[in-house]
Amino acid sequence: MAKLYRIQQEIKNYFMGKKVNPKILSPESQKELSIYKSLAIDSLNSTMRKIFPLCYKILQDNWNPIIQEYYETYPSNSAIYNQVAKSFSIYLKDWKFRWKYRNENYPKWLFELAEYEWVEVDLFNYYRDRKISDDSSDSNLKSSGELIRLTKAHKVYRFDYPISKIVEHLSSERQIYNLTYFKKAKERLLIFRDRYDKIRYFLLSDGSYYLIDKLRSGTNVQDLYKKFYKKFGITEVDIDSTEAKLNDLLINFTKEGILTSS
Amino acid sequence: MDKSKLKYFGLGLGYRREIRKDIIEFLENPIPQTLIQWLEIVPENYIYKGGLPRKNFEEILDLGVPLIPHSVNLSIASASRNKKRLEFDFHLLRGLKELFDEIKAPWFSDHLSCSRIGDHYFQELIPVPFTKEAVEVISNNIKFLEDYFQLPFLFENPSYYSHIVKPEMRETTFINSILKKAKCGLLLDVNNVFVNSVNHRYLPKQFIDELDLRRVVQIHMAGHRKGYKSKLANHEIKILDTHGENMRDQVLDLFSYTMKKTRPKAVLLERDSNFDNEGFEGLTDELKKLRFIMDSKLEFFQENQENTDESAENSEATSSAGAINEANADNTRAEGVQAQPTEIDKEALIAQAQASIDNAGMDDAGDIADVNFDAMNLPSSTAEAPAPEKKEKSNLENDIDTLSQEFMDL
Repeated sequence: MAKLYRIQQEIKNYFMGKKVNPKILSPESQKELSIYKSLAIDSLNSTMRKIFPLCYKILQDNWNPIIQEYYETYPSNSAIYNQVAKSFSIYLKDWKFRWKYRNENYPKWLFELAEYEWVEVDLFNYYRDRKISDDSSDSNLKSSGELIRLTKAHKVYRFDYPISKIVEHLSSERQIYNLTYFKKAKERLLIFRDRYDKIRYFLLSDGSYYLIDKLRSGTNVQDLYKKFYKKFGITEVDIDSTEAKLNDLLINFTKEGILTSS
Repeated sequence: MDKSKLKYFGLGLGYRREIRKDIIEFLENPIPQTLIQWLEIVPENYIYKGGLPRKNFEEILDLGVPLIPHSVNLSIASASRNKKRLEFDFHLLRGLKELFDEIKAPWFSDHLSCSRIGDHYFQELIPVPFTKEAVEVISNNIKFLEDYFQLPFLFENPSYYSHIVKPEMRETTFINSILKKAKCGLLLDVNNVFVNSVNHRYLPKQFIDELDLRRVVQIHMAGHRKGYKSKLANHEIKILDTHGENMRDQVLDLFSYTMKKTRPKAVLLERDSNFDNEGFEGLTDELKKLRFIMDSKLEFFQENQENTDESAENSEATSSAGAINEANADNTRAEGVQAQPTEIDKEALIAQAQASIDNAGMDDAGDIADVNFDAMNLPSSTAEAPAPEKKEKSNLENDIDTLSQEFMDL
């Protein structure tokens, strides 16, 4: 089997833009192979434009060479086609990319934007768990004593830049102004697929981040509230108003279809 | 694989999300129809998926129409370093097995090509060299897959644009050898035969004649478009298999020819892009063409070809295509030249050459006249491979040259 294996290894080198052994794969063969590589990059190009429309807006002029380089340096290890886009943010974060395009002054938050755009697609790959009642008025979460947790179709991200504002700005039809306008400002986002299979996000404060963190592993509401009061030093005086706020938050989560009970 | 035991599915359409609503509307209509009797799905699109893709898939599943999977990433032509077969991606196989069980797949299929090398998927159907070693590897891979899924496997003859290394045998010999060794079925893509016949300059009907048609379980039909130029090198091809255009008359003619000789269990119209051109109505018009040919050829087939198809599946055939192909497999030659008939039907050759020119959408017939048959299909791509022998032109080659010149003169 050795000869076929060796040939295919050289084909792999060719596709990854690496040095090819001409004794195994002649320059003529490499020219023939260029048709396949070119077709693959064309197809990837169109897929990536659909997955990263906002990054495309920024990278437009260099988009084609960037996609070719991405194809060569981060070949997919998954048979599921969309997964080919999974490493784009890693590629954009890599020093080689930043060095190569240093004169372009691409914003520092570019890879975080790519991460956000990828998650929007990736969340469709997750199965939805059983939802709790769609009718939030019926959901007496506190008294049920059931374990509740977030559905799998969510991700929590901590960005260094205000990605939610950047996404909003780039998604609008307005002209893109100076991209360096957005300064560093840490932001935590819960990105999730709602009950209508739309991708949404919540901006997380310290308090809601704590709640989400607990809900990811599963908890009952009584315990969750107790831990919350302890963590944030809620005194007897404030308990009623805090509990009302927490109830509202959980009811909102329920409405969005991101809570499940076990 | 015992073809006679496989169920007949008739005419089908490739399911793509762009036409999901149209398909549902069409199939929910209670009026009996014979245009979409089954749907083909790319199973890799539906494994390990939740959300909208899963919901859409379940919607199709609920229609109750048979679903037949056609994979793109099993990569049956890939080799491993130290094993006689590929070390398969079991994450993929487990997902596919679950899906095949769910849809009660009657068989599964993939392309005769390589899409995965090592741990990487390259999102393209990379051609496989027509070598004895490749026959061995591919057959072992197919046997393993059939054993794993406990289902019959069909491989599709791919469209290919170049020989990466020098072939040791003709394509038909290569295909027949795998069919014989792996005892699997063939998914005959008639459009691919036509595309290859133009790009590699051979006679498509002769190619069909040389195949072991007893093993054709499924047929693919599709359209193609003119030319494609590599963006990475100064290299271009004459026609490209796109699945984005209507079927050309010449491909329908080849389908009609094929249907006289074999009775597949399923025929499929493939369309991957350009859905908006003529709308879904355009697709049903395409399906009607296939239905017409299937119905008219079925009668012909039943009357004339019964001895050459599945009735002969399990017997030791000593005549017709089977015997010719066995002989070819035993006498594999390294010249890589395509089919050479013993008798020349000049009128047919003229018609086919003209059809190739028309169908490929070439601007003029110059390409035909410029062909160097000595160089045809013979890239000297590896150091190990001996240089191609200089050989005399066959009668057929001379005839095509003469015909081409006649076209030029006209």
